[in-house]
Amino acid sequence: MMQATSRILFLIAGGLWLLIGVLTPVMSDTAFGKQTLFGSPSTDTALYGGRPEVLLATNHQLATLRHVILRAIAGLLVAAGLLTATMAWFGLADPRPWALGLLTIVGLVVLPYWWIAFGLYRQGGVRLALLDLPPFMWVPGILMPVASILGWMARL
Amino acid sequence: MASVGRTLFVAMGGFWTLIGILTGVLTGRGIGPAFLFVSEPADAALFGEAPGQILLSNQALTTFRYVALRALAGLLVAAGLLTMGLAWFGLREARIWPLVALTVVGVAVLPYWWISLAPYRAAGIRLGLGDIPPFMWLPALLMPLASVLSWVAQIRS
Repeated sequence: MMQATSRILFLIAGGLWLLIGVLTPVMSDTAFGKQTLFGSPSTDTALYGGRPEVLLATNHQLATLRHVILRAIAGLLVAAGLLTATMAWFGLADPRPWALGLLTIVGLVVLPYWWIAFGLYRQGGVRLALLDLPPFMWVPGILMPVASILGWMARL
Repeated sequence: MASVGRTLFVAMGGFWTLIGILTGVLTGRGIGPAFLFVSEPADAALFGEAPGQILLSNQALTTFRYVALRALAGLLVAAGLLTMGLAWFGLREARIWPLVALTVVGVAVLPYWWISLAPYRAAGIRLGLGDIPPFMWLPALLMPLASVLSWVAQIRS
């Protein structure tokens, strides 16, 4: 039971990375996508001093760099998502310690990056709730450590 | 051939991981401010000013770059560790799924690199290999090669 739950949680986390990676190029330049630069509409407005859609319409250098970097991020989300989901599906089917170990390490190692990425928001006094963070950060940020604990408990 | 393919996959995963670690450390110092995303000349041509100047004058862009590059760095480390681990452990076992996964990943990222760099092409800027970030071009060359070598070895065995 614990092992199956662990596997499903890793699958969801990988699937979410994959889904967001696929959707990002499609959505990021729509009216909906332009409501944020990276965080949520309200936190981005607080940090940047203006509404994201207004900034993107007036600051062409920013809009261009956002186009470039978000698509690179999307590619890496697809890569990490595919590998996580595949490893959860096949590698944890007849559990291999290396697959669980690897997924555990990946689930933990990204957390400091998410922390430093939002360092400027904290320095700017912008209060961040969970839903202000991009889902590709906070959902796997919760699910993968839980999946790891369940996976290792099932092995013991 | 199988071991060469495996070694190339491990090396590419390690390369992504290394760039991810260095991006987090170096973006704000050293050579970091010399470019926005690709090379200094290409960025200057696309954005209309030298990257160092833009980073001083365009606060919104500087803030966005700080946030986005650190998120990108985290994903490089994640994708790199997964690639390295799957190649190291998975390709040693006589199973097909690790090789399928690594092959798909090596190919799936290519359209993303293409659309990511579209503004440069649209502006008529010619990008050489040295202009493109190494985390894009090096695995884009070596991962398909690693896939071909590994599949040939797989078929022969």
